Amino acid sequence: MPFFPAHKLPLAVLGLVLVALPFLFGGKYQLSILILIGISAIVCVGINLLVGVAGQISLGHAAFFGIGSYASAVFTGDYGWNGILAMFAGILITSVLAATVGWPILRLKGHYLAMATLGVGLVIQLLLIQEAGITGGPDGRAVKALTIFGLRVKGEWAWYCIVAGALFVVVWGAQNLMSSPWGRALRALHASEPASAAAGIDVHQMKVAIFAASAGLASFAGSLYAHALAFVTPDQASFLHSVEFVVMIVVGGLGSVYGSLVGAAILIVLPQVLSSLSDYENLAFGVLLILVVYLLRKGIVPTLRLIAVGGGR
Amino acid sequence: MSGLSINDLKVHFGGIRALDGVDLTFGSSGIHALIGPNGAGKTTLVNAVTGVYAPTAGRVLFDGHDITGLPAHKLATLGVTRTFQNLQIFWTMSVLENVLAGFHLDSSAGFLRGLLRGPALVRRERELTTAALGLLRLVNLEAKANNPADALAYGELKRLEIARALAGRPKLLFLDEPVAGCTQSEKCDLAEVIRNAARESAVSVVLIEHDMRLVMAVSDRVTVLAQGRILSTGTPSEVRADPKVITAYLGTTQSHLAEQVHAVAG
Repeated sequence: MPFFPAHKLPLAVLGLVLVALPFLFGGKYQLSILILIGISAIVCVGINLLVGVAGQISLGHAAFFGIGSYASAVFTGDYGWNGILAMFAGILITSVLAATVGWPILRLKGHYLAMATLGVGLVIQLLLIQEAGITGGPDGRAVKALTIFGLRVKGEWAWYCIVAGALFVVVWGAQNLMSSPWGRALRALHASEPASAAAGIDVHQMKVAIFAASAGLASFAGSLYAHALAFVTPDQASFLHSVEFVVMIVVGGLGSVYGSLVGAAILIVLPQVLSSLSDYENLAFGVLLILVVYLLRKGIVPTLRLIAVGGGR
Repeated sequence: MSGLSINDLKVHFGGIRALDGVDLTFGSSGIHALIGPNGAGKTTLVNAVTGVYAPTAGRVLFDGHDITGLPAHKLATLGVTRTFQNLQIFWTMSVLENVLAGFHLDSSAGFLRGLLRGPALVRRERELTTAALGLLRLVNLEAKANNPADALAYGELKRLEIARALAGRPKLLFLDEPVAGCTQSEKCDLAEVIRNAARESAVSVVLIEHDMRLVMAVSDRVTVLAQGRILSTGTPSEVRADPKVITAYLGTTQSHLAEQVHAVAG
């Protein structure tokens, strides 16, 4: 009996890293970057289960992130709800909406599914812009501070703790799910739908479920974002933001929970580091991304894992 | 009544009558082969019964339930499953995981249970792993349980598909050309696997196959399809002696049917 089960090791390492990071990068600005990474990573873990594990593309998840942001802004600001309650209302609304639109569109495959999710995302963003009476229109609106048990969450340190804690729980749950029969069924339907159905897996229902769950997770992250930045704009629900999430998981590694975190970190830190190149920032960013995708085809984490186990098959 | 009964099943693709009124019953045990020239409608019949195609007309009853046009995952819950002519392997998984996925209906496959990964789930997974290893032993793949599926040879993959299908504890199992493309020694291995499976798992096997040697060796009953209709049904020796079958396979210059069969077979 080993002292510590090997499959729990990555989670323990993540815990240590999350604790150590704010001591290494404790500046106000650095902490705000870490918070942003954590929030994006939460979204990416969910999208990676959908795209990387189950093999169903989505180019509209930023819209679900946006719904979460606005649900928190509107319910706390206009209706005086408790922030946590608003957050859960956002998750519920988003998941139900995702399941409802997912039911028909997840019958589509490949490019057609990509187009449909893109369309859903655009429509949602348009609504957020147009319904200015509720959402504040293209300029966005301010968001009240989050209060938990009567305490106002204030400052980068407090927000870092909340986001890091949430990310840890999300990764724990995603790891559990991946190693469960449910996660196995997700991987199975990605590999062969006919064989999955023959094994009794309700392929379509599974696709809708992971679509709704990943949308709910995006909504949760959107709520955190809204409160942490105290402001929301429709840009958070934009197509570009959706693509950014997908790029994060492709760079980090499709199907890899930890790849989602690495991808989110790289895509957020890199532009900050490259900003000193001023005019050439975007060029350098693009070249680096192409290099990563070209040299590490499976994404950073799965490629490193292959090298680590010595199997360069 | 137990077993599968197919009544006047028709599957038309536009003007092509792939199945043109088939009446057939499969009992609740034994190995029943379904043979016929290329294009006879064998795979169409399997696809129409296992939820891939919706039949144009006719009814399919299984253990008294009307299962006509039911989707594959619902059929699996009733105990009807299949393997595939062209391999359908979960390539990204290990050999063992492929079989575990076959246990889906028996596992704690709920979303929340998976998310929380409680002790009950862990215990169930351990039991299923033991059962999966038992099935891999049945198909002589136990030693390769932890290999990635894409590292197996072709004949091994055919056996893996059978093990995965058996994991669902089916009452009725369609094997769609299980030895197609296999070497002679792989064919012998598979014949034994199929015989053992039918005996030990108490499953009724419907074997769709071109390889006559395998069919004659393992089958209890044989049905011959030609041009979407049943030509003959009986024990292997009865069918072998049936002049209609000989005509359909070998053809005579007088036989209108044989000409058509040759045309279809190319």
